[in-house]
Amino acid sequence: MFAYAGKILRVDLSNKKIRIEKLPEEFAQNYIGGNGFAARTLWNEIEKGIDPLGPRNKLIFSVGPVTGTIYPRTGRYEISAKSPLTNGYGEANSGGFFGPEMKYAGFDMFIFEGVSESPVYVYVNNGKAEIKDATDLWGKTTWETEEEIRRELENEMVRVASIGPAGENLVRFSAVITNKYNAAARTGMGAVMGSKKLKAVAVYGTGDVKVYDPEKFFDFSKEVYKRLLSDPFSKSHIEYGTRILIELMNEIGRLPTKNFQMGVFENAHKIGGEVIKRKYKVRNMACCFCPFRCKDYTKVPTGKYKNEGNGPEYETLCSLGSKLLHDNLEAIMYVGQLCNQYGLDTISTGGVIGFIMELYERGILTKSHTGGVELNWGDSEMIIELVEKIAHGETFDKALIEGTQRFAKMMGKDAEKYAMTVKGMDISAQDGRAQKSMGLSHVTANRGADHLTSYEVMSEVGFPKAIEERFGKHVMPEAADRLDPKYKPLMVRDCENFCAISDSLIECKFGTIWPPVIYFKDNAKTLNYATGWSYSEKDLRRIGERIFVLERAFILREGFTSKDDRLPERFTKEPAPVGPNKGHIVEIDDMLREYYRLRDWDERGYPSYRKMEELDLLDVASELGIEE
Amino acid sequence: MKVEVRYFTFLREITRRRAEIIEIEDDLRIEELLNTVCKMYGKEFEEILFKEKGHLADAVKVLINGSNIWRSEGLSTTLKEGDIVQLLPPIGGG
Repeated sequence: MFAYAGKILRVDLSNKKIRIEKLPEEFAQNYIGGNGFAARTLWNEIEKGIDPLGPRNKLIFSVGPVTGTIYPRTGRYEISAKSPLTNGYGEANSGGFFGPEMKYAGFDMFIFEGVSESPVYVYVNNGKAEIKDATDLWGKTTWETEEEIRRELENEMVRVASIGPAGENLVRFSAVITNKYNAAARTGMGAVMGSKKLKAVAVYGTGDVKVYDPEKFFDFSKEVYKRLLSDPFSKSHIEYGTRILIELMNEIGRLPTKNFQMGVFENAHKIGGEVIKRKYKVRNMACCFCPFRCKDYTKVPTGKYKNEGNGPEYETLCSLGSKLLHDNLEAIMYVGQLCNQYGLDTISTGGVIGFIMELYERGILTKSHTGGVELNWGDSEMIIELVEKIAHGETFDKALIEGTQRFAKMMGKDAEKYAMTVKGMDISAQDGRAQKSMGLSHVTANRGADHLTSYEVMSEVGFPKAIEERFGKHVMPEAADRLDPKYKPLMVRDCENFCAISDSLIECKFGTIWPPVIYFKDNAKTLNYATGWSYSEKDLRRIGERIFVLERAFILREGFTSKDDRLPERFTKEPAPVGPNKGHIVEIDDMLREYYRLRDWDERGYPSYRKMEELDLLDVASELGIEE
Repeated sequence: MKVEVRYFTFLREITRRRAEIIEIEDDLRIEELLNTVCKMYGKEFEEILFKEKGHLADAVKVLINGSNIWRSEGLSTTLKEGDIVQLLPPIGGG
């Protein structure tokens, strides 16, 4: 097989056994890589109802056929398992350099099974693997772990994916960190590693990736580089990255503020990309094979919040900033680095802190719960203290490590009303009242409230030309209007299927839907030049849908239904109180009805037999009891 | 009447200010306001904003009170007292 390493590494941590398996060709053709591999493997190998933090959960690291090649924006890898945060489909991916290293070491996928008795790390080196003692690493931060492992292995080039104290303490929203700053953050994959006593995975490889048609693959990669860099939107992405979105989103009333109470933050300019560039940016940083280099190395040189490293992205600035009415940028940057070191998802960390701050403001949470401590909005010191305590499992009798939704249930009363989650996962930094497609995306994403499953951002400030090209002239002008729910189900469905392909190649989403440079037909070309197979655009649309529906099947098997496809009341009953979208709610019922119709799902949210047959998923249909 | 104009990224690097209040004639079209601003800040500013006379550059989005002008009458959209005009940089995503 071209483009693939052709091997799967299976590590049984309970019995300390290592097995190397052949990657089946048909499996690769049908599921491509990355998220596709994970979706099928989790479906096949995880039993319904298992404890995500128990020995029967499996943790998968996977990459795709273009990982490790020169094709741009492909430095990513995927981590998946049953999620301890949602009890559903767990999945996160991150950039950096770890993914390509897996491939150079000779593997497309690692599967970790069982639970080790004592802390270990797994070292993969050019086709071989060993389980090594990590007792001395337990308790250390991700940064210390990475350095210690490199020292122990006497290899500065080894890539490390590790957990910090948060993962060890089974914080349900803990992350896996690689390259110090790249977080596979969502759905609590760090806690799954922690439950397995797997402190880290270290990889080193000197192999290469053989593509089917090197000349065409090289030429097309070059063309894509050019397309990406010549797009009028790329210049500011390189200069300012996602950080500039703070101010932009504020202008369109889409910057979640005060636990999503509103979409406008009066001090947005104090925490946005412009001030970061002016005062703190040292240089650009890039993931492997990425011409965008959209990350910043930042430095707060002195003072209480002295810190340096890969600075915060938009999601972190919002989650630890505007969502908490917090405008101390140096403190936000400091907390962001704490989350990297402790291995915490900044979105859910900000989510749960914002949630308890609102409960405190409303008198649902009182000093009797907090031990006399006040939880005031925007209090930098309190936010830092909470992050420290969450990572070390010390807050409220450990209740906060359970995450927003479980904590809301424990509190009872009206608390659940203010829990800004969908399917148990904290909502990312978008307000659906300001962009209707995002409201729908938060609901339909299989891993819980998420913007990246569909990444429908074409309607954000309007990409009419790209929308016309992808969906036809007849959908205009409504489709490009972020406040008009019309055609948004069509767009979200298409974007979800497309992103399933992106996450399987794996490529970064910058350059796919924003700016809209790469689409199905481009991915078909890339794959064909890389593998020698002959995917058509239609094939990839079908495979994208297959992967998305298989993830859906996973959560249906776990007991989720259409009842869980629901937004918090704030978005459906509380009209946006201020800003350009004042008066808007998310018309979720109408959009969801249309979305189900387009997907050929019934009122319970189950795909039809016809659809499962079309997607070659009849074995899955049978297990779900979907009949002809 | 008065309107507020807000600048971002590359445009702000030229204006060196986040926003300003500009006094204009009643019922002025947005295109005329933008021409005025271009005169204030010179060629470099104009080249970012306009592809050619009467045609905005692909990379710039012009909003009035958070709403893209193409949802109204494009560059012919008429301004009202107190409007906020946002000259958005080429950025998006999440």
